Amino acid sequence: MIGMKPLPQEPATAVTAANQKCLRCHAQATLGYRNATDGLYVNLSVNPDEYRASNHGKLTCVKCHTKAFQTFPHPATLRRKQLVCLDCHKKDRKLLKFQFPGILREFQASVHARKLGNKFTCFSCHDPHSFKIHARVSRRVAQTVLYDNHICLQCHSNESAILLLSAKPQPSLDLIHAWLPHKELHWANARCIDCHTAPTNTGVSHQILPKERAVRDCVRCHSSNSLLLQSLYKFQVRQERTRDGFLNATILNQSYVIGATRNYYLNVLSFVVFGLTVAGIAVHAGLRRHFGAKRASEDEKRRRHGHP
Amino acid sequence: MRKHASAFAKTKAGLAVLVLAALAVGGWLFAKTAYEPVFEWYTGVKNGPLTFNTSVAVTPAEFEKIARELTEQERRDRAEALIRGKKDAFTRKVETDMLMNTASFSSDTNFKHIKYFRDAGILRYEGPQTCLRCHADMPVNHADGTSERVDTLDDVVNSVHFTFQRRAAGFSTYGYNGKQVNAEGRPIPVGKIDRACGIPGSFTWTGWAALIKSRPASAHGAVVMRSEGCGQCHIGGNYHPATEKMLPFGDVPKSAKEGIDCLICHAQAYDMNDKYVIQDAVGLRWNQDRSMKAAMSVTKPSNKNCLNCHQHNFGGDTYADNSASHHPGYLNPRILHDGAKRGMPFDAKEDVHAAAGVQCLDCHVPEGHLIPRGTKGTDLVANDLPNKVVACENCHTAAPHTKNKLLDVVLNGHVARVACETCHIKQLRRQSVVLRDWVHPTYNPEEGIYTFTDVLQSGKADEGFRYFWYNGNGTFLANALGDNPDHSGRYNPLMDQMTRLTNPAAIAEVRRTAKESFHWSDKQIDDYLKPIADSLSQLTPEMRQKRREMIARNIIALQDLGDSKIYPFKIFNAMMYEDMSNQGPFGAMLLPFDYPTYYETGVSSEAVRVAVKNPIIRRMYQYPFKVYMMDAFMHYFGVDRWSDAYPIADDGTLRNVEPHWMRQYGTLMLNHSIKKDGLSCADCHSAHGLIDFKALGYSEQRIHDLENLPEVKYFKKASPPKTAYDAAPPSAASAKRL
Repeated sequence: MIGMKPLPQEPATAVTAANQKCLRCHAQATLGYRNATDGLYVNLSVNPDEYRASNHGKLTCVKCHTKAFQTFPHPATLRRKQLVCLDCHKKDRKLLKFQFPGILREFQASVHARKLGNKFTCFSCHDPHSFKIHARVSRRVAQTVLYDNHICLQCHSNESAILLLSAKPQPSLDLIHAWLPHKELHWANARCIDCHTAPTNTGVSHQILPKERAVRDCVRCHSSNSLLLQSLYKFQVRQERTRDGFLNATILNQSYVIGATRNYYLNVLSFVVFGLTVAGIAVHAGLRRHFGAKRASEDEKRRRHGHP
Repeated sequence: MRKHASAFAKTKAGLAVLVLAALAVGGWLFAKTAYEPVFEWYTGVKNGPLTFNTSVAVTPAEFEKIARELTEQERRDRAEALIRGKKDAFTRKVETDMLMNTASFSSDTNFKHIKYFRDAGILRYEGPQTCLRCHADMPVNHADGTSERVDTLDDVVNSVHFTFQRRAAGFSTYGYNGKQVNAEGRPIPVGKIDRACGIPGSFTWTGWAALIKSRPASAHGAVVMRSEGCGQCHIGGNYHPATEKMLPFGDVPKSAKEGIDCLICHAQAYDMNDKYVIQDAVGLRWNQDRSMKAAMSVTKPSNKNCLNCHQHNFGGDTYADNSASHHPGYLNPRILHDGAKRGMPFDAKEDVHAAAGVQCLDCHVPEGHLIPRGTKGTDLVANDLPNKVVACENCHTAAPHTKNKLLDVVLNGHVARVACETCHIKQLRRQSVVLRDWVHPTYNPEEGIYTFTDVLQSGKADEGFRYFWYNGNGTFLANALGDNPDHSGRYNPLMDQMTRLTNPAAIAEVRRTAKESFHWSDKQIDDYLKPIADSLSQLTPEMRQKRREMIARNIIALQDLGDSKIYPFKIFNAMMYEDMSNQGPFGAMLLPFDYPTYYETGVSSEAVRVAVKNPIIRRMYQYPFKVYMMDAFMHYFGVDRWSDAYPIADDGTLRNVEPHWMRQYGTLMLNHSIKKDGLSCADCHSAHGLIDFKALGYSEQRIHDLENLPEVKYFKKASPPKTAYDAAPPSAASAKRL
């Protein structure tokens, strides 16, 4: 075994070790309690695998929750303190590109913040223990759609969750979207926020609009200057540009008309037809040349032998 | 027309259709007419018209007298609640008497059938036909919100309470061949009907109804007949269980359906003293209460009804509050068994739910006459509604602890890995049987019969019950399947934890009991203890190797199914005679005992010989039975094929039959006798806690962590004190008196 390296192992980093103390309890999937005031379940569980894979997975728990939480039982005053994303995300230079202050402004202008006030925070949608940026890095649009829509549906497909925040019950998503042609196709291929936010400069618009102001005009997306190029396809277009170069990306991009009924078999068929046409021309030209040359040489012969 | 028909028949397809049609018609005619006599001839089971001496007509005057008696308490309670104001006792009594005897009080009672019978002029209860006069069909509400009307008699006849078997898929049981019972291939009938088991020592085919001559001390040598058999707890009132149902097209004869005991489940005044074995011209069968009084007390099944039978395997016959045991029979009183299968009574004294008035059917929500037993189970008992969940979470939610917030958060955290029962069942009844030796009976002078010897009864953790990982499934011989969520391979119960009894106190107790019962030498007792301490010691090295391979190939993947939690399991082993021609690495076919021979002579091998001679066991060792079900049955058992070598030689002696303990301890789910206060932290999280973390496959590091949790000290102050173990053992006399 001389010269053999030990098998590569996940290094037991200091972060993992430090977090292990917390996860000893908080990894329990059912850690939580029912709030005596409203009977609602308060979930205190953190899935260790999801946490490690999340964007925050390299941080120690106490980085956000402060070192005071290292004692057991945790101080009651601290337990009630509400953390905010901006506590960390405002100053850090590495995080500038995420434009958190802009996101905050958008959020404050959103229908959620305006209607629900303190009841609605960043964490209402984004669990910081499993949060992953998705639109920015995913190359598969369908996956981004699934991930982002799941965030909305946590509440919007859950009657009891809605009733916690609002006295108004959730109308059926099916009914209020009944007007939308090919509803299921839209839901699988576009995000809720693509129609329900105001386009902004941040990575993903956080300004959720009141329902009256949602996009209902088909042409806003189904056009060469599609709205989706600024939202859902924004990062894909950018990535492709970096990868393929501006020209190639522009020529090869999938989204010159988003939502066009492109069919794989039609694509193949058109290639086949094109290929056959080229082949036909080539054969025709080749045969012409071949017989043309033959005829010319026969003419030549005939001329030489003096036949009429 | 004939021309057309013959032309049609001449084509191949036409001929096939005609043949199939003829077969279908023939088959239908056979099932309807000839099946019963042919089945009786082949299997030796008997049927005949049934009469019951309790089915007696009453006069209208007697009817009213019974009605007053039945409703007396209820009317009195209601009247007393209505009499207000400070009054002297006598005035109060007079006013109560007046009020409770008014016409309106008498007509408005919980026993609605009094009025129905009065209006319909019914003065005699004649079994199911009386019920069916009104209840020919009934609405059934399904869990998914749909409902339908079903034929009531069919509904009952096809319920597990009547059939004791199921052919359809939906068992939480997996064979040692790795296959889920009846999930694929041709399904076979499985359930209590065709499975000898170590606790009753027999099964329904051979042990349905028996009369036993006992010579109790109290009778000074005179013979007292006693009743015994599975039929006491099953609702068929005829001469054998619903054996005919074992073939797909088979139905029980009309007389068997007329014997169904509706009232044992529905009558509040059912008299268990009418449950005893009677002999008539056809054979032995169980009597039942068909009195008008019982019929008039019909309601939906109450706890009392369920417990008429089920307390027998919960608290056991010797449990002091087992009401049925106090009514063993006017004639031929039933033999009451020492040693309880689970030792967890369901009643107000022992169970927090029973104390709160929770009814059995609140959790086991029926659909018609089909009653769910939950999706989990290790014991291969047929399940009417295998997909219907019966679980604590149905009521208690996933965050059940709501008292002290901080402790409750931590306790709720346990729910993902630890079953509710693990903390909330702290001990079982002392009479809980762990080791039952059928091979070496002991004479009970008080009862005047030979009985099995329970060499170990215990309700203590680690002795009577143990903790295992469990994912809701079990093996063909009742072993809980599951794995430590770290899937490290350290947890291998079928090679280790479920094959051993190491607890020193338990071993000492077995030694003591064996010495006292068998009067053996120390050497004999040492040999006797060997397979008890290590049940794998009964296997040859080759068998042991085969076992290891089969576990790796078939069982490990099953252990990893779903999410496992730590559950408490009653552990159990029995020494019985086995057919060694049908032996595999997990055991051999258990052979039943003939009850009269066993109880009267105490010669256990002879009792086996008599039982095996039963015509239906003879058939079991013949070709049609082999291919119809025994081969498949043995595949699940971990044996390649069913050997039809009949275990009785031509000279009438037993052939290739040996006494053995099972090759692993059975594990029975524990889920009643729930206590309000559970275990406290340190009961498990300490160096010698109740839970053996090593046995559960934890790593050294994790064991150290689990045994030294810093939080335990903090919570110690908040924990309830440990409750004491049963103060004193009940004297033998008090146990036997029942």
